Amino acid sequence: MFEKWLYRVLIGLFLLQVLLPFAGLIQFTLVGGSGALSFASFATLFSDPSFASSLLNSLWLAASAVLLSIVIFTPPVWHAYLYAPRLLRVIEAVSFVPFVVPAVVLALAYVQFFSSGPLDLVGTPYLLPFAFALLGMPFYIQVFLNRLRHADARAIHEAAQTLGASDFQAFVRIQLPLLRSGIINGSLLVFTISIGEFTITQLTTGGSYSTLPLYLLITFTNNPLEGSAMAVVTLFLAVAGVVAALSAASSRRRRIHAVTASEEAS
Amino acid sequence: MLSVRNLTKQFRDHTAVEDFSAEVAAGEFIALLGPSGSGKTTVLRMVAGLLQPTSGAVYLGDRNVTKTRPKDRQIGVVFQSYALFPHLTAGDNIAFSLKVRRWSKQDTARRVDELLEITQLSHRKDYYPEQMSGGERQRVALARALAFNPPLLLLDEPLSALDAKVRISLREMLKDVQRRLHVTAVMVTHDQEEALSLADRVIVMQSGQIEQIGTPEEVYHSPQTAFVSTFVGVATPIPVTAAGDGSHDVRWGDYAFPWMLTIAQKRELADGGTHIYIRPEAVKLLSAPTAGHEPTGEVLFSMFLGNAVRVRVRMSDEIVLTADVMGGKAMYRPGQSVFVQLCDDRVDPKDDPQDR
Amino acid sequence: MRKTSLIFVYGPLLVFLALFALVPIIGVISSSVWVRGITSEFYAQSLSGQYLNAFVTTIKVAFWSGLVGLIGGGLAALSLWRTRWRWLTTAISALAGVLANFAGLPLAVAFMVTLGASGLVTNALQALLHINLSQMGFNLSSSGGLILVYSAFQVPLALLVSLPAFSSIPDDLEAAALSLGCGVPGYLWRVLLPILAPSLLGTFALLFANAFSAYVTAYAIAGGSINLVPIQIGYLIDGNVSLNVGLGNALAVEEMVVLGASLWVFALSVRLRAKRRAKVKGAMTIV
Repeated sequence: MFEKWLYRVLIGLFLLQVLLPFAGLIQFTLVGGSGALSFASFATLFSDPSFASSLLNSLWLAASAVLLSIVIFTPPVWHAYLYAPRLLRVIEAVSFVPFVVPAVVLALAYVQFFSSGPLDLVGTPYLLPFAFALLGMPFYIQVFLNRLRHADARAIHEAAQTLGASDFQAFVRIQLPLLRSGIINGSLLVFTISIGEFTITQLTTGGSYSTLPLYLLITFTNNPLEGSAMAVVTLFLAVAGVVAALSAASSRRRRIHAVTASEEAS
Repeated sequence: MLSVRNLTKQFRDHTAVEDFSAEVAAGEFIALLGPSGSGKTTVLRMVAGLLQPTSGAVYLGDRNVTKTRPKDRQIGVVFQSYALFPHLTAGDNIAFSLKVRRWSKQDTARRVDELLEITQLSHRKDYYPEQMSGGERQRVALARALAFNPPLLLLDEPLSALDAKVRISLREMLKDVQRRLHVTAVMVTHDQEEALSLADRVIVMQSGQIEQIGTPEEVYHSPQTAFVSTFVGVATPIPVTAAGDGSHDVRWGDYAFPWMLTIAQKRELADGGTHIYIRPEAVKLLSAPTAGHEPTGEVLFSMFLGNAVRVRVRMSDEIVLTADVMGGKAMYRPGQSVFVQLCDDRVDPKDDPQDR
Repeated sequence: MRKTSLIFVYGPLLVFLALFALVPIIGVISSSVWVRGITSEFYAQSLSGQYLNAFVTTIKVAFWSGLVGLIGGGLAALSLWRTRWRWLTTAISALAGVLANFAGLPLAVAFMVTLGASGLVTNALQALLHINLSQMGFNLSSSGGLILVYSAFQVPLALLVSLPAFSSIPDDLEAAALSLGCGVPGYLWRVLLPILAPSLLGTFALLFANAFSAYVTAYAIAGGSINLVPIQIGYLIDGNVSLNVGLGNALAVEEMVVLGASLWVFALSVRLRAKRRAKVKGAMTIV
């Protein structure tokens, strides 16, 4: 009994520690300005034209990073999983590069490498989707691999082949639907990372290209109320991304359970 | 129909299959029987085209298909895990091979309904694999593999994931469907009972090599190697010599008795002696000898099996016979002496051995 | 599959990795030791004066925030595992996933408005209890303040990483320990802790690396007023990279060495756990 309560208290303390700053943030956004409850900070934020342009910038960068991830990472991981387990281990190890080479170091490397020649991309946003895809790589590959491991993908691909489908037909008609949830989950994580990326954006563009996080920090310095409203929005986006990834994973299962249950009842 | 010639598969550090050759006639049901790691699944995968042999060739009819891709081989395969497409219903799973072959809508629908009926799955047409039981999934996999009328069907441990009762009923259905559709079938299994009950011929494999090819009766009663005799059922080899008295075939010590011998065994017998394999159902236990000089042995232990009592009898230091006593009423205690009579039920007692 | 189509499968990944990881990083490493000849000048420079101090401060912040994270997150994971509330575990893992991976900047803002110089809690403490945090020596942009802020993502990360270690413990283990006459605290201390020790060490290594490479949070809260290695690298890029590229590169290489070593320890602990689980399974099948 005592033990049970001890665990509950510990979980409570954890939630308190983790959520307290955000409770403070939300309270500040809502009542910090006038002392009375007000959504004025959000109104200011959403009517700010540079918020809209930052949001747009962030969205297209994130969308490009997601597209790149899907195109670059999906086929080799799939193929290596099916036919080249040793190669897969190499790809998996390499995918963790962003953990050893953090964003600051990448920024430093890019500033030197992409500053001249045909790839003179420093100061432009065109470098960013690639950088974001690299930062998202370990997350995308892990999530996609998880799906592959659960889906019996190899036997299913062989089955499609023996039934007369070409490699391409089998990949598009069977493998893509089979692995869709892994691709979607991985994409959502890359999207979330891209929306929140600050370091490389600021250091390679010198702050000249405003995305949501850059805009957040500038706004916060000038107008803390609007800035914290912005922080709330960013956080909301991140939570939405992760929750969407989780529910995409479980929605199919639930649908099927519902069908079976209704049939058992009838 | 299917001809496999000198197939060898070498993996990085070991030989999975060595010089495997077999001929399969049209309409035949073949079982590849062996323990895990014997290379039977590797043979199946090479026939299906999912694995390239290191050397050797696979012929379908007169057509050498060794280099043909699986999609062009026209071979139906039932996978051990079934490998059903989880996002398609049972009906759409079965229709898949017809859709990629661009069958018309009506023909496809007709064929799908036909197969659903044969496999007794009509009521499951719109169900997804996750909503079906293991036995139903197995039948969908079978129907899907047969949909495009392949002349050859390969089955990789098709019943191993099912529980005992479902396994027996599906075994009967499998045999029935195979006969009705006149499809040639090759099944991989490690279950000797399954192999003996389903197959027209059994190929027993061990360590990548063929131990014996023969009908279930031949493999069971006339195992050609020690491995086959112990892997297929229970059997004890005993040394015999020619009886030489006209009414009996073989002699074990003083005891002469009739026994059906293979040609090879007859030849060895003529040269001096051979081994025959004694199955539990061929051993009768007597409390007193008859006129035939039955040998005596000591009961080691007995064990109740339900429809029979299994008794282990030590005849000598090397030879321990196993006897199944039907009815199970007789009690045998360790240490008790019994007399052993050996009866080959393939031998008609009125038959004269010289005429056989 | 045909050989030519393999180019389309693996080609894009190879080009991508070469262009956006391999070549730029090799560039950093080579120009940290090469200016018209091999030199160790930049490394000497990067390990002295303010840069040496930056290492000391970064290690301090990473060590303590890692320790706080490990204890907090480990206890939370232990509690979740022992209470066996599935839905709560799922919900908290999702929350922890957001906080550990995606919350750097909003987190910094949240701390500034609650505990900053004129933050909500700071002002409330002043008004209600007459406690002046800054007079007590508390400052959000000091290393102590950063340790506090960093724990807000270190604790959730520790929870995420150690949860699988806890759930890999077989249920029978507790029953076995209790039947041998060991109490619950004894079970936790004498049986569980030694089993989990490698995992916990690995988790700590990961947390250390995480804090060692954190940039956004520190940059937003302290700007230039705290001397951390990532901040120094950022500074060298930001305005005057042309002035001392070599120094920045040397710092970057040192940063990568520290991270590489920490993550190597982490990977080792993960592999050890997998191996041990296989052994336990084997032992069970033998029995």
